[in-house]
Amino acid sequence: MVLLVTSDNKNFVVDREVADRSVFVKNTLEARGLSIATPPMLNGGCFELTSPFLQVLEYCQHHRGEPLPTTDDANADENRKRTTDIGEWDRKFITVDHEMLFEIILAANYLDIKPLLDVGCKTIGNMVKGKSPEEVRKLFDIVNDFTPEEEAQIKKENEWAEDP
Amino acid sequence: MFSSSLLDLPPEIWEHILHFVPEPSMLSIRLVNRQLLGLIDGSTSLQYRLELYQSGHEDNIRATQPCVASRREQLREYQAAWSDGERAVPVRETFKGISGPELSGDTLVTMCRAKMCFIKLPSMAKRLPTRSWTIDLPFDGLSVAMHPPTNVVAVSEYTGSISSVPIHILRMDTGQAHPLASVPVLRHNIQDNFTEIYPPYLAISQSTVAILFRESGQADQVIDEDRLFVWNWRTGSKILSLDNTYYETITLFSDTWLVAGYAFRPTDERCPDSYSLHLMDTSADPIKKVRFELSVPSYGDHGHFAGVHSGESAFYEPSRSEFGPQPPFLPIPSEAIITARIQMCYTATNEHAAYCVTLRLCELMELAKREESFVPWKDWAPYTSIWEKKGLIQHIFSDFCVSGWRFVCPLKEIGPDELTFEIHEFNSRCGPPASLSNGDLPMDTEPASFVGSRVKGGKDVSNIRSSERVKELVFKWKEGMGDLTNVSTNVMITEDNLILVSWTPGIMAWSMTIITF
Repeated sequence: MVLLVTSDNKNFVVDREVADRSVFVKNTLEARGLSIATPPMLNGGCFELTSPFLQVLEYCQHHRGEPLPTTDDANADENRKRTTDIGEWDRKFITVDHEMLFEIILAANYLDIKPLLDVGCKTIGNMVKGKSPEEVRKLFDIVNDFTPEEEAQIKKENEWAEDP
Repeated sequence: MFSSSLLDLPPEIWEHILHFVPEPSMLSIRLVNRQLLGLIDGSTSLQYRLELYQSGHEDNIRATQPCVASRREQLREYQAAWSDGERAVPVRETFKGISGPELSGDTLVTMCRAKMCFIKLPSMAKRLPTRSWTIDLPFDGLSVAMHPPTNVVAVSEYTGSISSVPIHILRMDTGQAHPLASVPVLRHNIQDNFTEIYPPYLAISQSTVAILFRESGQADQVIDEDRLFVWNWRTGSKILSLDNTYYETITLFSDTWLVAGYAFRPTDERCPDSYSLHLMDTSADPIKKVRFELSVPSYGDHGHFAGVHSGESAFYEPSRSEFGPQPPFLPIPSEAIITARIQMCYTATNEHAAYCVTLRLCELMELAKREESFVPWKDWAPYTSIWEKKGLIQHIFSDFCVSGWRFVCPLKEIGPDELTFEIHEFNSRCGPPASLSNGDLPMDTEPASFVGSRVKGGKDVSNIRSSERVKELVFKWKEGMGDLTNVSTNVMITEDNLILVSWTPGIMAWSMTIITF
């Protein structure tokens, strides 16, 4: 068992196997050679960690024991990018509001949980897939900051790319 | 508490997100706002993906690949080669001691000693890059022929001794013995008094392999004999054996139909059938022949018979599976009507050093095979075209090639070290409508009725119209490549490529150049 403390000073005692889903935690623990660790200060406090951390823990508990993706394997990395499929459980898990999604992705990135990061990124990818620029702006509440001339220019570049 | 937009995620995460987005959506996202535009345009790997998408290429990420930046660089170089307004020369490879090459569809095969080299030709219209692969064989090869639908190649082995001509029947993809060949090495033994064999000329079809070669030697007198053999390569049994044929070239139209061309001057006493073709049905006993004669133009006395080319794939059998259960041999039903496209060419120079090229096409010939003899549906329907060119012509290469509706003939001129190719297009039944531009050629696809079955019904040959010279390619001979006078050249033309194979004395090598249209 290891003790993890979030930046808002909440303590979590979790199985080593669950904690090891995070490459960051795993490496930290291995580096210290301890079974119980004072956790890393997770983040610089720009967001509340407890609620996403609970989600992340749920994810890690569900996927405990699965082989970790090997790092530094460029081919596996690129293959991973080719598929936008998300597993059934993961899809339900990630069906959250934008804010929570934002937090989960940041946490997954920080804690280095690649599969979870991918699930989050694929979810956003699927949101924007097939959408017009205006629909994407609406989705993320973005203001169009292009001048009409710039917009025309980008459209022209896009046409060139679409019609080789 | 503050409200965070997904857009506030760090750029590296957005870059990661965009890797899961298909390219058209990525283009859409470029239009959303400056931030996302900058993100996409600032990412090497995303840009690479867009460039790949734009060029129509696919990246083979499984192959050992350098990093994205250098892959992107390679892609750019490649595209620059294509986009050259002049004829780009994306591939120029030099092989020593190659033989062949032989072309089938868009695949080129050539022997280079113990290496069998396959090249998938590039296509500008379809945006396909050149791909090539090499298979090592445990022996040195001389000639090679292939039949891609059956995944088979025939390779004649160079043994170093004049005792036999072994022909290996191999799988095209692996170079291993073909599983359907019960005799993997066919062998013809040479008589004792022959001391030299000219490289054999091979042809292979779904079930048969044909070999034409010349034996020469010196006993009491100089002996020079041509031999033609046809085997069923699946069973190893010999179908045909002819001596002293004087054939110069052979083509297998199908398992049972063979076209052989004579290449002797009309004055050659040994061969009254000069400048003619034999079409043979090897399934009949005795073998049936039809002869087509090509009259020699009145001008010029230094003629070459440039060979015969067959239209492709009209006779491929319905089942194209590689090793599937196919009938081992397919004789032609007695009432079948066969369509073939035969092309032959004659070139000549006259004493004023102008040149004339005559192309004779039997664009379509239909024969009904009856009990006793072939009945030509239409007579030899020559299509003659004559070009003339002012100036001194030193030599006309004795090769030509026809593909679909394109015809190429190389010429060599005195003066600057240049080779000139003339590419002609002629209108014909199998050619494209005049309105088709280079970009969307459905070329060399046989008419729908050809696919998978033998064609029945008459075809009109009268709509072969005049040819038009569409291209003249001037090929600069590189310095250090030797005297142009001694260069010998073969040409091939496909939908997208002109292939030039030449013996270059300067570097003592065969070189092969692929010029892509």
